Formats: sequence, C-alpha cells, structure tokens
Amino acid sequence: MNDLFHPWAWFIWLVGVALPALLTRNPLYHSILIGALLLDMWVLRQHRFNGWGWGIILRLVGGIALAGVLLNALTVHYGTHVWAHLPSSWPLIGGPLTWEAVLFGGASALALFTLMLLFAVWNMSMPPSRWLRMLPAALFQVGIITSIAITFVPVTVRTVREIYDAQRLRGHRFQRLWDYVPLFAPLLVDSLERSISLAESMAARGFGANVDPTPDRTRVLYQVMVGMGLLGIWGGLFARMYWPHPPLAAWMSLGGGSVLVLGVLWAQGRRVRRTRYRRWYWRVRDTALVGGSVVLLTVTLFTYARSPRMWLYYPYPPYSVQPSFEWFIGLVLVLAALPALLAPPRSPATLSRGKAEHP
Amino acid sequence: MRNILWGLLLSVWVLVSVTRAADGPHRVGLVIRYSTGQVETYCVTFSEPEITGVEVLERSGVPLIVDPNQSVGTAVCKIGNEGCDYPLQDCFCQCQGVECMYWAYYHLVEGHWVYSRVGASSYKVHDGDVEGWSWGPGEPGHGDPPPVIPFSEICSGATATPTPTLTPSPTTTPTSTPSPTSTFSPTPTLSPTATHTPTSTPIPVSPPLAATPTPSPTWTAASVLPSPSPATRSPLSPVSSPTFSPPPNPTVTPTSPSVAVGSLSPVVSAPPTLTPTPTARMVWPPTLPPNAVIITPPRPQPGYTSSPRTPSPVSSLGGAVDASPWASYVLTLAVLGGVALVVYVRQGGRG
Repeated sequence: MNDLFHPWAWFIWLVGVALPALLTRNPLYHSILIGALLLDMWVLRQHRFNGWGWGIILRLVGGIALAGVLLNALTVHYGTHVWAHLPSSWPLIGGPLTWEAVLFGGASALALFTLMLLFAVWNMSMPPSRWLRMLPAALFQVGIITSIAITFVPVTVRTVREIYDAQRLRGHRFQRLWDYVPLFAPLLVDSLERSISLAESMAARGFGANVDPTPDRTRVLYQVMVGMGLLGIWGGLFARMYWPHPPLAAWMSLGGGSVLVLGVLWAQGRRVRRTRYRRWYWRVRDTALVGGSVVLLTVTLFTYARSPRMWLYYPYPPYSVQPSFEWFIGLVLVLAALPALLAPPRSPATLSRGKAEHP
Repeated sequence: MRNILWGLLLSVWVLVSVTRAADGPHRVGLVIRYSTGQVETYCVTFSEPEITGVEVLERSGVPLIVDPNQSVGTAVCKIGNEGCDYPLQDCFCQCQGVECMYWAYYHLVEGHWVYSRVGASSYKVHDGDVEGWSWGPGEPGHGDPPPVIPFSEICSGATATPTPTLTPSPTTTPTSTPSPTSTFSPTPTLSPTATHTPTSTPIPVSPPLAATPTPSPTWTAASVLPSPSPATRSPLSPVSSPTFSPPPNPTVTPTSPSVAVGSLSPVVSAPPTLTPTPTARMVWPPTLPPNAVIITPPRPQPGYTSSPRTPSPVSSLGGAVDASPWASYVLTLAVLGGVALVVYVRQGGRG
C-alpha cells in the first residue's frame, strides 16, 4: 500500500492550492506554485506513483499555452508599449502589437499550466478508484461513468506509447504521416477490446442491477421532489441574475430547492450498500497536510477579501505591467510543496524496485 | 528559394502597407457624456488612414479601463471616474440584471447619434468622424446619447500650427450677476505633433452664483461641457499641469466660445503660455461654484504611463522597475529552494 496521504487530506490540499491558482494571473505567484508542484511530482515519481501519461499531456498543454501567447499577441491591439505594427487592413491581426498583450498571454498560459500541473499531481496520487469512493453513495453510477470518461485520455496516451515502442522495436520508422497507420490500427483494436472488456466486467459485477428496488410511490415522490427542487434552484438563480438585489423569496427558492435535491440524494444514498476491502488510515502527516492547506486557504481568502489588488495582475493600462509581489503570500504559496516535504522517505522495497527498473 | 521569395514579398507588402498608413494628419471628434450630464469633448489627431474606436479613446488621454480579451472584442469598462474597475470588478458590473448601465457607443451620422452595431475595437474611424460615449442604458432608441456636437465645433480650435503654445488668458473676474453669455477664449494653438487638440464647446448652465475665481492652471486639450443642470458654478479649482505657468495675477478675458454659467461672468485675460502635450486636456469653465459638479482631470494611475504608441523596448515596460518585489520574490524562491534541498536529502537523492 503506497498511498502517501489520506484521500481527504489530498482533497483539502487540492482545494487549498487550486484557489490561489484560479484567483490570480500573477506570474510570480504562479512560478512559485509551479516550483512547488514540480517538487511534489518528483516525490510522487520517487514513490513509484504512475504518471498516467501526464507528461505528454503537460507538454501538449505547454504547446497550447504558447499558441495562446502568440494568438493574444496578434489579436489584442491594446496597450502603450508597441513593439510592431501590422497593417490595419489585415483582418483580425492588423494593428499595433503590444508588449502588454504578450505579457497577458504569457500570464494566462502560466496560469493554465499551473492548473494542469496541479491536477496532474492530484491524478498521480489519487487513482479514480480512490476518489470514486469519496463520492456520495447515491452518485456511484455517475461516478463510475465519470471516472471511465476521465481516464480515457491518459489510458489512450499510455497505449499509444506502448504501441509506438513496440512498432519501433520491430524496426518501423515514423517519419511521414503515412507511417503512423501501423500505430492507429492497433490502437483502434485495443480501444474496442478495452471497451468490451470493461462492459463485461461491469455486467459481471451487476452494474445497474436493481438489487433493492424502490417502491413505486417512493420513486414518484423522489421524482416530484427532484423536479420541484430543480425548479426552485432555477427560479432562484434566474431571480438573482434578473434583479441586482433579488428579493428574499429568490434566496428561499434557491435554498429550498437545494435542500430538496440534496435530501433526495441522501435518501437514495441510504439505500445503496457499499463494501470496502481496504481501509484508509489517518496519520500525523495527514493532519499536518490538512493544517498547511487550511493555512493556505485561509490566507488566500483573507487577503483576497481584504485587498484583491494584492493578487491582481493585469498588464494593460492603467495598471502596471510589472507584477506585484507580497512576501507573505509568496511564503504561504510554498505550502503547496507540503506533500513533498511531509512524504516519508522511500522504503527499501521502493528503492530496490526503482533500481531494478532503472539500473 | 520559394520561401525566401515569399518572405521578400511579404516584407515588401508590410513595408508598403506601413508606409501607406502614415499619410498625413487626420482628426476625429470625441464626445463623452457622464451620468451627471457633464460632457467632455476631445479632438484626436492621428496619422493613419483609419483607427479603431478604442484607439480614439486611448489616444485622447482620458483615463480608461478596458477588457481587450472579451470574446467579442474590446469592452470599455471605465472612462474617467465612471464605470467598473476591471478586473477587480466585472467589466459590466452595473449591467448584471434588469438595470443595465454601461458605456454605450455611438457614431454621429448626419447630425444624429447612431448606436453602434459593432464594438469599439472593430469599428474603423476616419478623418472627420465624431465618436460618442455615454454612460447609461444605451439601448438603440432608448438610450441617453451625448449631445450632438458637430466635428467643426469640436475641432475648431485645434488648428495645427508649428507653434506648440497655447495662450489662454487666465485671470478671472467674476461677478455675482448671472451672465448667461460669459465667454471664454483659450485660443489653443497646438503643434502638429499633438495627438489630440482642445476645443471648448460649453453648453448653458443655469442658476446664479457668487464666486471668487481662482486662476486655473489646468489647460489641457479637451473641453468639459456643463450640461443644463440645476448645479451652480463656482471657480474651478486648479488642476496642476506641468506645462502651464500662470502669472501671480492672471487675467482672463472670455471671448469665444461662449458659455452660460449662471452668474459667473469671468473676465479672463492672461499672458501665460501653455505647451500642450499629446495627453493634454482642457477643462472648462476655469471656475466652478461650490455645489457644482467637478470633473476631475485624467490622472494616470500608478504604473500607467500614457506614452505615445511607438515601439519601445521591453526594458522600458512600466517605467522604473521597483526592486523591492523582486527582492522578496528571490527570497521566496530561496525558501522554496531550501525546501527542495530538504526533500532531496530526505528522499535519498535520485535513488
């Protein structure tokens, strides 16, 4: 069992790091988060956690982010620091090209990369089976389907790499577009086989079977409650959008609808019986991770509520192109590296396995 | 070889396009109406055959906050002190429900304001056009467009001459008798290099007032038009301008254009010389009554330099680089490096 932290500790850490990453585009803060997350990733790899092909995805995101910088630089013609002029008769890209647009594109790219790196670390440490177990019982079917959908890309990337290596071992060379046909044909076959295998295994485990059928009257009651709840939520949200200061009834509608839907979910969840083969343990380092994450979360929320300008980065006029930096926010962001710092040293078994795999 | 030819062809095209772009000074009028009813006009000069509506606003020098990364183009969030402080607020922070207030965009077509069908970053403005911005609902047919001010009136005093001096007459002698025809003549004379030129097109303001005028050293290249409102006027407090040096007791003799400012009858005549800058703006009238609405002049916020749009090196971004954030940043990176070292040692190196 090589889980470094309790899944709920990981989840709170994820929320704590995701909040500042989503709130700001400040490249200085993002660079600290990226450094901390790369450290976490390195430690997870040392502990033999599977990357699920995230390396390729991160490279892909890096490419997309760079394309975003180029696109922003060419299409946004606002700012005072002009580095080139394209004829204004050129559609879309014509006009002055400014450093502000380049910087904003770069900051956005960095923010995107940070988020992808964060979820890469989360995915490495939390395989779908673990976070599926964290879902409310009533949502287990939705959870399984979601986990299958989410793991589709990483699994496909891994398969592509395996087929690519196998074909190269056979002496095949990938030079032109046509050379990739021997890659895609086995990939298609493998995907179909995987789908059939998955469907059979789910059917064998009784997925979707109605073991404990709900009585008709109860089912109708649940359906009516869900319908009324959704209607209340919709009405509340609509009133909130329509009026700048929505009446009390709008909030009551929103709250009442939410209570109805959650109540049905809870009642449905009680009818689902789960068995667990593996227990989760809460250790001291889990408490430390949660404590650090709560500090990160609290400082982020407090400083953002008190002075959002601390987090702001917007290079276009009238703001400064130079990012601001508050030392205490920077130090708190270093807490994103807590998983790496709190992770136990590698066990001898892991070390020997690592040496065997990488002599 | 083919690539080289294509490259050469493209370079020639760009060169020709850029050369053709600078084909002489053009002017465009800009009218901005605030929710208080106050109106500012600007006469913006540009050398390109056409510029966008956002560029007109930008070159006028008026404090401006936009969101250029909207999916539909550039959204104008704030002009002057009115609007939304994007990105701290939503760009349309006062258009979140049934009551929708925002900066509506108009074009003056044949003496009538026409609500713009496209965004300011998509609309091309040509020589002689007049652009309008108004804070309000701005619906087609139901909006609150700015007052109609023809181009000739906005850019009338903005004749480009080689002498970059402006000679207003800033000694004011008001009386307490309402004088709806008090006039003022700043006689702005701008150099051709100024990106926009001043006009003064005041509109009448009613009630009387008794005011002691103060010489206003703020002579910039636009005018503020007090709208017909119950506000009374008193001397306008001076707004500093580094290019204006009024004498100890300047005298202003208002001549033209005329202003009806209640009881204010400024007699202004003064010798000082003003050298307008591209971001200059004229505030009218020079004096304001105690309960009048004062339009504050554009003040660049910290970090913003309203520089001409010319190619500039990266090193000049943001002016002088503040060293203190970078020192804190390097220290924080050092802390992160220390953490990395501890982790490395704890995990037994690369294994």
